[in-house]
Amino acid sequence: MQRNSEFTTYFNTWVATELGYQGAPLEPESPILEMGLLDSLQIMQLITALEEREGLSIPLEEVVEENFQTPAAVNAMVTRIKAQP
Amino acid sequence: MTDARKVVIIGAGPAGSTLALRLARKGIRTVIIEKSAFPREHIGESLSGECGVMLRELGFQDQLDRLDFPVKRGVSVYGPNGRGAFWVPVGEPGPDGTLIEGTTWQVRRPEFDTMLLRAAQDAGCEVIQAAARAVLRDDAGLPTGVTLRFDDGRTDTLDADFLVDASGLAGFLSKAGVAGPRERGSYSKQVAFYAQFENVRRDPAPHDGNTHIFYQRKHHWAWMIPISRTKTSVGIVVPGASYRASGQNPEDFLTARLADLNDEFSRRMADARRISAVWSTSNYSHKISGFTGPRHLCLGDAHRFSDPIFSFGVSNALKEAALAAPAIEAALALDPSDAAPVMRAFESLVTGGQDRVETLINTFWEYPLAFLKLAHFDRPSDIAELFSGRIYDPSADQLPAMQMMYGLMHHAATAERASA
Ligand SMILES: Cc1cc2nc3c(=O)[nH]c(=O)nc-3n(C[C@H](O)[C@H](O)[C@H](O)COP(=O)(O)OP(=O)(O)OC[C@H]3O[C@@H](n4cnc5c(N)ncnc54)[C@H](O)[C@@H]3O)c2cc1C
Repeated sequence: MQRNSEFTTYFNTWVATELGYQGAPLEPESPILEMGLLDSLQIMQLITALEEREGLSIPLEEVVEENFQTPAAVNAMVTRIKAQP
Repeated sequence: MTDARKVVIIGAGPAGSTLALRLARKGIRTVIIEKSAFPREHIGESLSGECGVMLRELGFQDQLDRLDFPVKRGVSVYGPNGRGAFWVPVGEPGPDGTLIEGTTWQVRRPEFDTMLLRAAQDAGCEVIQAAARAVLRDDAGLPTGVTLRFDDGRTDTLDADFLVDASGLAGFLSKAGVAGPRERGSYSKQVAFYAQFENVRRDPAPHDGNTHIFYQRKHHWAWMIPISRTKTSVGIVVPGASYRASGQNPEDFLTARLADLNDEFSRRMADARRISAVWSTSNYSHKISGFTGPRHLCLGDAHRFSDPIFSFGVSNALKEAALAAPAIEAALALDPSDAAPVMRAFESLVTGGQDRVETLINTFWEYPLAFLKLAHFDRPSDIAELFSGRIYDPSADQLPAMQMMYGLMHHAATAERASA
């Protein structure tokens, strides 16, 4: 599993460049949905970015809010999908 | 003189009137029994693309234009945050059969339903204003007619060679025990509150006739449907428990939800003024299995209605009438034992259509983000086709979006079993 800190660094770069986020750096457990950082369309953007970066395809049943609550949750989802045969 | 075979249709909603029109045009004798004096009020104003296609085929384009009904080009669906919206255009078949962007209508039902009924009458259908009360049956249990009760208390009986229940949520043949028992539908705990408003913020022309749907938490949503140049039908639908917990009356409840259901909804309602009473309705989600026989069938809401979110009701009514007309024509020429399979084929086709409608709605609520992804990014043309009404065609099951929705709902069911 990619370490949460590593993933969070990637995620911080992504939100800064793609969404123009300029607030305090996010932590693995930052509640990104609650903070209003990502709306539904931006979640879709993130999915596309993750699929390219990780070379995987995120199945539709994983496209649920719970998987996008925090950077750590996103990382856990990616790890879980990668582990599948 | 031998009487032509006679089809008796109970209910002059969109299902009953368009069936009567189609049968009358085939030269089949039809009688409609309708208890209300038309024009009468009815909910259900937004039509699908295929509904528009069927109305044009039936010859209503000019009348619909004369009635100045708003032209609908699509529906925008707004999620809990502003930018999470998706847009589904109205589709219609292009010259080569592929789907192109088209238009349909938003209708004021009193005028729309009257237009359809008059057309059936002009085509030769007889209309009797009375309530159908009981079903007459022969020794084999097959329906042979109905008893009627007029407003002044008089009663009468009417023979029928074929009986059609198009009585809407009244479910006449189910209550009479001819069709199966009424079962709760998947959305039977929902309640709707609605009214007409002026000064609702619409999209700029030519998109000023579009439907807007707003949602927040699961099963909490609102509609905005323009019904004239100035009037808009606005409604909210929530679980009944939410309403009861509020302790509010319908007026206050509607007003409060205008303010807090969804930001985009509130923005569009900011200057709106209510110009009608607040109406409410519940117990509309239901289902009847076993809704055909050699000498009867149920059509439209009379056998099933799931949920209004994607505006399939009137479209389904017209589609089922189009499928029923040739089936009835065939059945009339056959012995009961040979007519039964014709009716079973109709029932299974119609059940498939209604099941697909429900899969679409269930997926939307179980997987709103995945649905957004499908509708907006992955399979927008599939979703447009399904919304436009291709939902009764069994080949719709082959659309990748439909397959993905079956996959998602299968996944949800497996997950639920695992956690149980
Ligand atoms: C909240 C809500 C919102 C909706 N919004 C939409 C929408 O935007 N778009 C859409 O397409 N659909 C919508 N619908 C669904 C739509 O209202 C119905 O699907 C549609 O009206 C069904 O048509 P029908 O012909 O089957 O029945 P109806 O239109 O209900 O017609 C039935 C007729 O039968 C008559 N009748 C009943 N019993 C008897 C009897 N015993 N004897 C004689 N006559 C009788 C009634 O008077 C009535 O005229 C909505 C429904 C709800 C609940």
